[in-house]
Amino acid sequence: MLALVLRKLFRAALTVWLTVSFVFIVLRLSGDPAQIILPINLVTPEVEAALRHKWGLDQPLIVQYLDYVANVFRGDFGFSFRDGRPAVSLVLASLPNTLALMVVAVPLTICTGIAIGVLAALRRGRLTDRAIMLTAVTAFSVPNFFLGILTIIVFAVSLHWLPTGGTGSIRHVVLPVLCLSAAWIGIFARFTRGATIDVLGQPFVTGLRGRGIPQMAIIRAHILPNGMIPTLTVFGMYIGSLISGSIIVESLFAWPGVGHLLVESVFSRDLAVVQAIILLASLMMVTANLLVDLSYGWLDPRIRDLEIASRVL
Amino acid sequence: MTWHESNLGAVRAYEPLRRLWARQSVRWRATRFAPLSALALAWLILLLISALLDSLLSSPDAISMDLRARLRPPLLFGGNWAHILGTDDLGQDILARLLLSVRTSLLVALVGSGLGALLGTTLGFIAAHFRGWIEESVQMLVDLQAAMPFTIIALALLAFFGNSFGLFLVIMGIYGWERYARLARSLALSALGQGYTLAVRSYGAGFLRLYGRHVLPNVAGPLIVNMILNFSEVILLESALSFLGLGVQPPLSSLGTMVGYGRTYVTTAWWIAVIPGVVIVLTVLSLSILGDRMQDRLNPANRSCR
Repeated sequence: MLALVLRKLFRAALTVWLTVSFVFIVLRLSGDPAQIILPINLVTPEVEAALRHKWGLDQPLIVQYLDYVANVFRGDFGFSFRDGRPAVSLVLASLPNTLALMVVAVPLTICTGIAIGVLAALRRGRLTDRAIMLTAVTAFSVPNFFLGILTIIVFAVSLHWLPTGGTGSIRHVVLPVLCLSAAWIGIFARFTRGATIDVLGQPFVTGLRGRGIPQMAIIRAHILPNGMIPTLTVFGMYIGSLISGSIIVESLFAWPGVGHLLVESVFSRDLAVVQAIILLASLMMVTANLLVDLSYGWLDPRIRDLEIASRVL
Repeated sequence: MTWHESNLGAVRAYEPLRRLWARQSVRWRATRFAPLSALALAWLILLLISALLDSLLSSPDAISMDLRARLRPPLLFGGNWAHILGTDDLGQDILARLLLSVRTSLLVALVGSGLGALLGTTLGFIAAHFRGWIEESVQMLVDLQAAMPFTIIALALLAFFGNSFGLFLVIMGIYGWERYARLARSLALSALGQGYTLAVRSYGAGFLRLYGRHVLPNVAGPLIVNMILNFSEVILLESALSFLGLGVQPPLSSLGTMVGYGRTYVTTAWWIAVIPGVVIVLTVLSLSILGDRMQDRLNPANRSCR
């Protein structure tokens, strides 16, 4: 078990390192930041040289890279080219806003998705099932930017029920959360339905029914725990995609979170901030996958064995 | 005999009957006419035809500006026959722009999913064929790709390198290659265990001949299903990036570009954003419905997993 955990930890760290290195090198190759940051009328060779020296851009790429990695381990992610503040403090300042959306969106998505997925499985083939599944497929066919625009048109522009964007009250949270969650509710519902149907087909469920155990008790104590194990994979993907998902939603609703910061930084080519956000997103994805992998072993004793684990995961 | 044992006996007696019924119903379902899939197919054919016939349908002056006819609503919302889907703020006909955008979006999605299929399938076959360290390194690449925040990296690359259509297509092609690779590897591994590959190999067929002529046609089904699903994902990613202004650039226009453009006019002219958005939704929805149906037909035992 320990060997398995260590191996997975090593691979997770390797993934983050490779991602960060790839991004660092490719983005440095994209062009000289000094020429982009400076206003046109200020570009003189001396100013450019001074700037390059200040940011360490006059060093060879390999030196810059080693410096960067060493600094990252010290918690220094470089400085924003735009206002000179540390990149990490910019990211940390916007993180609470993103987390505020997540705190609402994640439980909502998981509970709703699993609940309607189980319902669809229990009503398999009937009208309820078909309606739920059609809604689920539609939900993840609507891109979140379009859902955002539609909800803005309907609820903000026409009905005046909710604000079009910004922060401040609980009413500002409704539309962003809806746009963040809709597609994933559909994915969770679909996956839970499949997993539940698989469990429902197993002989032990027929056995429990035959013994006269009430339906609700079977669902709660037997079907849900068994059906949730495959759903964990989706959960890992979901947590990993939270930051990518927030990019469009936050910039559409002018929500000052990490996604919004990323779009701003990307357009102003603010290297350090972009790299810090990619590192954060990569860490989140890898951690989510790691936790999911490990909890498989914890929840399903059959996977605990290293042999089996390496085959299944 | 305790009570539950007798019940189990009754359950066992009922089991063959239930299985027979289940099999019957699966067969009946699989061959039934599905109106939803028919509609989905009809929509995709319509889209394809309009993309192909675009140059015939709309003359160059169709997207010309007509400043006297700005922000006209669509026909059913108070507009007229001259502009069935209304006009934008420059008086350009939405229908004409839509046809051009559909063509770009379909082209990007086709090239993107095609590149991904080529790259992923080849690497998957290579991994299955050579095993050893080659397989290990392909698996490493697959895992790395799957654990990367790809959307964010694509966003950064497009912004930092400035927008070139070529780079955009390459990024769309890389997106999702790892699923083709995984699938192709496991399909090839199971094919290599079958008699026909042994026969072909014993005749001395090389890698290309073995996989191109024999393995690929035999395992194409699941790969095509994956390609359909990947196609719709590429459409979604393309339109999201274009919406942010980082994808398809003017003078070209894609469905996502149109939605992004219409974003400014949500209070005055909702149709500019909503019409291309609806086209995206219908297209992705149709692709998912058809992909699911093909998956069911290919693998009826897996029906429950949908």
